[in-house]
Amino acid sequence: MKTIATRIGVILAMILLGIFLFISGKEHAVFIENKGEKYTPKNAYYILDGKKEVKIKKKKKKREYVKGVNHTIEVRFKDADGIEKKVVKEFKTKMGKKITINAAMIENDSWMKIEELKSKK
Amino acid sequence: MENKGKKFLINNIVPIVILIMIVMAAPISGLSGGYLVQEMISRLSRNSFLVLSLIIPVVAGMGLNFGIVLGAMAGQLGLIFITDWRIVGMEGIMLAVLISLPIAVLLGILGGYILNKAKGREMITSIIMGFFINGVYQLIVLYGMGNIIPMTNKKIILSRGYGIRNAIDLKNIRQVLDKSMVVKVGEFTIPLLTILIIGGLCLFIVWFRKTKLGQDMRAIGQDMEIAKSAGIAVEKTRVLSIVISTVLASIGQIIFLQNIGTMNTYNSHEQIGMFSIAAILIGGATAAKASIPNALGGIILFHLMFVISPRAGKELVGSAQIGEFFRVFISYGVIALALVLHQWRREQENKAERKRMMEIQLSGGEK
Repeated sequence: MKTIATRIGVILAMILLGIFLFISGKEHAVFIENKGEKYTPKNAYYILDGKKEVKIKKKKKKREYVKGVNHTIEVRFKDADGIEKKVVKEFKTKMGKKITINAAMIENDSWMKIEELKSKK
Repeated sequence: MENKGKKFLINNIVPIVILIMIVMAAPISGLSGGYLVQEMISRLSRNSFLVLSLIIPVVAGMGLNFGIVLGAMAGQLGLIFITDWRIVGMEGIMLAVLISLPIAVLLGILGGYILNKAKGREMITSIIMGFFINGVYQLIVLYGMGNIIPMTNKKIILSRGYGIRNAIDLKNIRQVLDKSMVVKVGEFTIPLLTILIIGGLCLFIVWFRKTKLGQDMRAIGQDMEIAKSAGIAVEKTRVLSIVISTVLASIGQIIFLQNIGTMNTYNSHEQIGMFSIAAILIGGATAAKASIPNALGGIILFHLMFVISPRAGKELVGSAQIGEFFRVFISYGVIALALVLHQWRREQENKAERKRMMEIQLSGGEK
């Protein structure tokens, strides 16, 4: 009886560890665009999860890959008055969801767009 | 003194012959010492886990387990799944190991039972078993994946909609283990984490040999009948030795492929048994006795041959293609040479034993 319980315990622990690894190691695509409603900076710069700074030109869109659930994005750009701004935001990724971050609207509430991921047939 | 030297020579004939070949070929190849040392560090970290997985079945008297191919297949299945699910980094490697573990255990149990039915012919049986399971693996990967087992990553699926592509790019986990902890010693780069994992396996083998199960395996390896009469569950213990070997081989294959960075879906596992066994034999192991120094020393010697011989061949003959033939010639030739030398060594030992027995009988008679 004790042996069976131990074996079941080991199997359950392995399944739980597997689920944890699946969630924390899953790669997600995140889209970053530089396209504001009223104002779009000429160039915006972003740092995703503390990695290398990337430049994104006006009205352009870039695809980045991130690992796991919790992420941070740091965006740097010049606003309409020519003042340098630096904004840091946190966001979460979910399976089956497409995330688009708008660097130009990073200060607004609608800085992130979450959509259902369409499967290609 | 002369006897001692002769005994040492007979016991280490395989590594000595290979070492002589290396010493002769090294200057011809024109490769620098620094390059060779760096190559050996890289290849030692890449192959050690697989070669070390061969030790436990030898202790249990099962001979050299050509069935590690089964474990390699389990490891590859784990890698296919994590690539399909897009699990990256260290988590990817750990999940691949986790997925391959139950598959390797099942294949190990199957292998162990089959080898129990073929006592005394374990080596050839495990080769054929590897071929058989390879067929099953190919059927699953070529037809089942995408058809029965759902696959979502278009990059790894064949254009017809099912079956896995011939080569899978493991860029998501490429050298994750090797690059996560790196130490620079002079001009050399040492993948510390991989070396630590291999060191952990060496400690496990040393510890395992001292446990009750390890002692039982050794007793079975020495004499199965005596072990049976001593109350040891011979068949169960033999199965366990194969299960451990298969599980270690599955992890070893994952370590091996993360270092390479690409997986040849239908061929990567096929050569593993041959190459690992060639390496351990070159290190001075036999079908009845293998140790950690045999495994590690064997990898160094085998890969030195592997690196040096194509270049030496090219320099000697002047054709780059000849170098590639040299690789094949070396890998298979070395297994044949090691087995022939092993047989010769056994004959020498038997001859010495007969001589000793005769001397004892004669001296007893004189009394």
